[in-house]
Amino acid sequence: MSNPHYDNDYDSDVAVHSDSEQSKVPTSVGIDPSVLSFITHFYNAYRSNNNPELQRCYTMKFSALSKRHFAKSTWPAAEEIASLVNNDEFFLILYKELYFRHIYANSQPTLEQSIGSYDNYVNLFNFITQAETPITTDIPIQWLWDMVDELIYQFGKYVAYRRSPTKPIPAADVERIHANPHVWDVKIIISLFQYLVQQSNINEILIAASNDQDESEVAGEFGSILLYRNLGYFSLIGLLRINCLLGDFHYALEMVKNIQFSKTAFYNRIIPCRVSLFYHVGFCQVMLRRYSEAASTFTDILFFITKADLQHMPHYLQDAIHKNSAQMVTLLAICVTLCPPRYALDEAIAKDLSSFSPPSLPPSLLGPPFLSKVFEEWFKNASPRFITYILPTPEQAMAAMASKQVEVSIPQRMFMRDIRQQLLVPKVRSYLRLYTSLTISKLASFLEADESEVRSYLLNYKHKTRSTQGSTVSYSDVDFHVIDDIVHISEVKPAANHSQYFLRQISSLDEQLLSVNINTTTLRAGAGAANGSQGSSSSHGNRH
Amino acid sequence: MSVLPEQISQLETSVAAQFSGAQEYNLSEMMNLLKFYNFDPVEVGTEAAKARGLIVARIIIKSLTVSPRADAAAACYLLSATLLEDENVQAALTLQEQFECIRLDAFWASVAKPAVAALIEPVVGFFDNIRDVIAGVVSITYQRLSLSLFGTLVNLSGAELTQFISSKGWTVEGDVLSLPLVPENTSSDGSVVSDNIQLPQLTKLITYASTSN
Repeated sequence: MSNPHYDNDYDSDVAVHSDSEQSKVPTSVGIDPSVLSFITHFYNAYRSNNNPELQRCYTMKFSALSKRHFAKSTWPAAEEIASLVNNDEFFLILYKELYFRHIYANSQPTLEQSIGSYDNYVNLFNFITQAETPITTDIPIQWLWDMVDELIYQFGKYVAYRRSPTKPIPAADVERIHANPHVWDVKIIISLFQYLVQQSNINEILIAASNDQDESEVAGEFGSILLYRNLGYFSLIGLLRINCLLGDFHYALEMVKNIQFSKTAFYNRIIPCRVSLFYHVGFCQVMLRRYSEAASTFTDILFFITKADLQHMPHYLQDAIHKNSAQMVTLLAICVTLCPPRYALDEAIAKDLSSFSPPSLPPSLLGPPFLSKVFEEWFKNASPRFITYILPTPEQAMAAMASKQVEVSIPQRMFMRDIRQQLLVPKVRSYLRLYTSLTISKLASFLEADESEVRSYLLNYKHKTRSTQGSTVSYSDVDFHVIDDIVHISEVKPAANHSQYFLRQISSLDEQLLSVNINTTTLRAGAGAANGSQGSSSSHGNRH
Repeated sequence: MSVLPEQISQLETSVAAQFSGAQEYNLSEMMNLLKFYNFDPVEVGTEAAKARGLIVARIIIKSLTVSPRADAAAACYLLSATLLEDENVQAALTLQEQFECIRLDAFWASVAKPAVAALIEPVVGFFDNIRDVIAGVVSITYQRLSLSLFGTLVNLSGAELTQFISSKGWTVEGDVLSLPLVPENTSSDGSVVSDNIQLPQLTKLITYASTSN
């Protein structure tokens, strides 16, 4: 899948590498010895299939050396180190993955670098899927997840660059874009993931696992190898994300329907994967009006994030998770405004939510124009950056840039349209909440509408608050029924959540004891006891 | 790697079979077709664009029949900017909005228009399905309502209305329609959802408390 145009053009701009390439400087000249020894060590870990050592090289040594030697430059090009690693094709592809990722993390990549990285991802996936016998290299799962995540991230960056360039695209790049029409093509990226999903039999494996059947019977030659199985699993989440960005929320959810949401699920092993999975699943549920399901998706993951120990993670990941969780709180606000849950929210989450005040506003302020603005703002802050199916040509993109036209994405337009259809729900609810029964004519006078409109509102309310999952139970906290001309109302009041109250008291007592220097060994036993009583919900679950 | 014209025409045939009732309702298939249209756009104003507009409009109309599932909304997210300009698609979207908001008087007025009626016609059984959806939402909202009101909601009168009601097994006395009691239309007060802590969950804690004294 090498790209002829990219090869020809490669040395025109990127001075650092093309010099060394053209003059055929012997490898390793000018490279710091510690870097050389790292690469050799990395390669040996790869050769001996030493997963823990690969993990250490990947997570710690690579970033440490990046900071020390390559804060302002790129890592040596793959060609420069090829002789050190026996020209091993797969290792060099993996190395290049890190090489380009480092460029993306440290600087604004050039178009050639973006194309180079794309080619390398295609090579990487093709190398894995087109091997005659399965590749048995046990690549750390964190790296595999990061590949999928980074591929989608770089893809998103390219789409943004093509759709809304911040500065005029130089003529050479315009030409290069025209010469490479398939670079970062969404269909190709989807097919990379899809192929891995099929080859690894990951769906069959997940179905077998959920039925307590023997996975090895369905895994097949490739699926029984960790590399395929793990990458197949992450590819499902990759497909969820890409379809979500394309606005196909139905199909996006189909992609992960075989993933069981549980404490022992595979996604739990990688925190960013877990967060990404929940964010996208919850987002799709919001778009498909499954508000109560979305609310529990978000509360689940937000609860996890507030308790999780993120300190050991790199700062950029911590920042990403915090930004993502702010988005999820916003989405949760959308859910609970449209469909207040019947259960009490976790206190920490409820506190975050309290800054989103509309649910508690007086009825008179809950009118559609005001709410519509609020929802639009929330949505803009909380949604992912959607992609279009067809990218504009560089000429079109620059024309749009010159005219400063802001294009509202189709999913956003359609979401706001959907929201406007149910904006009266919160208002109707806020009046109903004040009564146990009232006549339709009285409600009509409150809503300043005629009776037949009010009857529509009431039907609309029931229609919209019904779960879309085939169940006909209303999940809203205010319910009603109509007999002739009288509305009879019932309100479900969530009771205080005692278990959380106890846990909070236990942990605050624990902290006070610590602060007066009591023997910590006894304390840990205490925290463990509280932990055991409530599973993962103890605030001390992560202290060691 | 590109979308093949044969793939599109194959999907179009099978979606048309869904409209005519020859094939089961299948949202994924209709969504796939919409996606393919996105990947392979045709020039605005051409015959091909108009033909697509008609199919897309019918997809929206068809997906209304499984309301309150949000299938119509799911399909709308896959419309392209050019399809949104198509007059048939716009007519279908208006219909969808009226129906989703249960503004049924406006909905029935719309479907009476010849252009809209022509859009709906190939979607066989649309009115039967849509009346079932309406009856469904009425039956979870009301315990009792006047027969004439119900008649306007489903746009039926006389013998047709009587037949529709008896097909549901509902009872009418004079001008009053009584609906069977189900949990959704018998909401009662005081149901409180609370957490439930079991004693075994607390044993470790209690043991700790009693040993550390």
